[in-house]
Amino acid sequence: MSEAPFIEAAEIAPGHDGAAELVLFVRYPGAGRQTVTLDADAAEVLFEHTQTGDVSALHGVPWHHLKDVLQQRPGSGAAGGNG
Amino acid sequence: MAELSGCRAFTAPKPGEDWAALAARVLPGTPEGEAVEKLQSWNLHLFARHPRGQFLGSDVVFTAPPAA
Amino acid sequence: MDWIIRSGRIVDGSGLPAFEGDVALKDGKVVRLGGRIEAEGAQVFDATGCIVAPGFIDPHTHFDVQLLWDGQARPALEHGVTTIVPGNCSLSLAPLKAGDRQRVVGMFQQIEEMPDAAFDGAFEWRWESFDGYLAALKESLSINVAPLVGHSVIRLWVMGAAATERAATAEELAAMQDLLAQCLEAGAVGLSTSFVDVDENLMPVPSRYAHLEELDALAAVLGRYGRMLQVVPEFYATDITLARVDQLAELSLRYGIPTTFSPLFDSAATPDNVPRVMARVAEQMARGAQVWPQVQTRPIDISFTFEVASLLFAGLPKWYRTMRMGTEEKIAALSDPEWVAQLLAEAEPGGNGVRWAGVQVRGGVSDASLVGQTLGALAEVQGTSPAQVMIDLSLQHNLEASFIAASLGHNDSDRVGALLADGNVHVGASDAGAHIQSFATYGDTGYLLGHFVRDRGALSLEAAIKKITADTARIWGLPGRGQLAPGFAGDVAIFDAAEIDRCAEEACFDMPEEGMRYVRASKGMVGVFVNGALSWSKASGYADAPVGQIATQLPGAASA
Repeated sequence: MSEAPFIEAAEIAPGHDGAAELVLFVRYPGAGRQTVTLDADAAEVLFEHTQTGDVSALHGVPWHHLKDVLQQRPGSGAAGGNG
Repeated sequence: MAELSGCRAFTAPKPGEDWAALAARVLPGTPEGEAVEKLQSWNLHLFARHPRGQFLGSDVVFTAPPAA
Repeated sequence: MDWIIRSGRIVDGSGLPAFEGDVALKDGKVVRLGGRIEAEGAQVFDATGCIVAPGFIDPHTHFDVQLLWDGQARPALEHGVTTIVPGNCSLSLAPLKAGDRQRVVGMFQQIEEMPDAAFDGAFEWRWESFDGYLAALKESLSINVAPLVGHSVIRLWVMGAAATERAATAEELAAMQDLLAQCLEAGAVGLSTSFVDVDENLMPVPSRYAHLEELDALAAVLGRYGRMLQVVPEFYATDITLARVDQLAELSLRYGIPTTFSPLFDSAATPDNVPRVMARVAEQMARGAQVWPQVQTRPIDISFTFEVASLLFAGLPKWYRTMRMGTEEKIAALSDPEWVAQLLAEAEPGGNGVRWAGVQVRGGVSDASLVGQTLGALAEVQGTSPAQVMIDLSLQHNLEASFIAASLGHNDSDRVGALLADGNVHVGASDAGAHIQSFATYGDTGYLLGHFVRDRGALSLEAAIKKITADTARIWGLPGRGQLAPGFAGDVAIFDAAEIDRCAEEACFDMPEEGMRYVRASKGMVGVFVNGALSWSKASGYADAPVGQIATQLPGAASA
């Protein structure tokens, strides 16, 4: 396993605005883990890049890949919707 | 006043700061490329929203990885 | 005496045990309570068998626009809500220069999902200043209002287009401080800001461009008036929320102000979120900071159609792949028995945890009798599977059939009940008046009193009432409201404790030009007084009683 942070798990969670969101759990080797929440558009781009539609297949995706995918995506909305 | 327990270190971006400038402020002594890389890996939430990977004045920027 | 509310069981908002008696109202206020009260000429409201409580206060709403043509903020009033806080999440309708209106309308439409007609002809836009907006509201106000002023509109007023480009200069900061002070003088209950909201182009709202120094400068003004700072933090991001708690605590301690962040959700996806956030809140409260997490009572639902690829299907690769197809390709796939067989095989074991049998038909179907029925019930009747029913309905209605997977988040009643009972939790975050075309944001107080108090005993009736009345008034600094006591406002909610609840969600076409929204009617509420006037009753419905007041000021006599 690389020492670089990676996606350890992913779950679907209900968003505040009634839409489903993708919660990624990023593991930092030697430290803890944190969540990164994606909206449907961002998640779709991530799924496309990993060529899967299955949240379990995101396991192991390195943080660099996640960052690059998010930076490339044409959409702009942050997950979480409006308050 | 009651003591606070420790929590994950963070800062707020200052006007005009980019990743390199913020890295120089919070991780002095670490080579710029390495410092920026560390900061970005700890702050993926800033890439999950627009403007992607750029600071907004109100952002929370972590200066340490999450606690074990 | 104007009114005697007769023979109720009084829960006065203090948290003390209920007691039997009458409540007398005169000149808009409570003048006596307890025991038998006789007064010649007074009207009598029979509350036998009912709870008589202070009117509820909803601290997180977006009724800013609706109040301009509906001063009753329907259906909030019929749920017993007599005071509302609009202007949350950095957005208010004032102060706002005429040239910036369209910009802010876009932000409101993004958040509230109000139709264009709501802003175009439903009211006359005559104000720019905050007191001008309040004057427009007061012309037909039937509910009390404690309005926040939005950080985004303050920034927009002072900085114009630069509000979404850069940090403020020292001169601009000073101008924002002056403007905020004017709003607070006019009656604003505080300042709202947001760290997550976006406009109609999904770009950050102006408040998100403000540096911490700007928020600090504005908090200093709030400190002069002892007023509230409300923020919307990032969702499902515990470390960030903890950082926000610390930021708010520092501002609270530095300037002696109350702060609140909303919402705080419980979620099975991030089960340690609430315990960690509440532990930090407790630490900060112990230091003397006021950092109130707002927790909503209702669970979160997910709505979806087959038109758009909902992440609800992301745990089912074949389904998700299908949902991401173009419309024609998708219809062809869903019409292909072989393809559908694969979908069904994938869905039936349970997929990503969604209980398809419990999913309800929400709308978009030609047969209205299907709305509200579960896929499980329909499948049983049709002798097929819930997933097959969902596919069939979607195909029959050109993919426009809509469904709702209810209670998918914030839905563990044991955990949420304990959270609501926590002394550091501020019950609120209803978002009433927002997301109106996505789900109903009304009736959270009925759900609190029915589900968590009566059905589950998570907290006593007295404690629950205190949380949504006296506690809220104290946290927000609303003088003379939130309790039934002599001299307090005659804001009263009268309900049957055995019946109190919220009704099922239903589509309603009462927005301007018959625009649609989802609402919930009240259940078990029998009467609601605002400033001493009977404003809604189960027997007669809404009364034309424009008695609402600006709740940051001492209650005055009712004018109608």
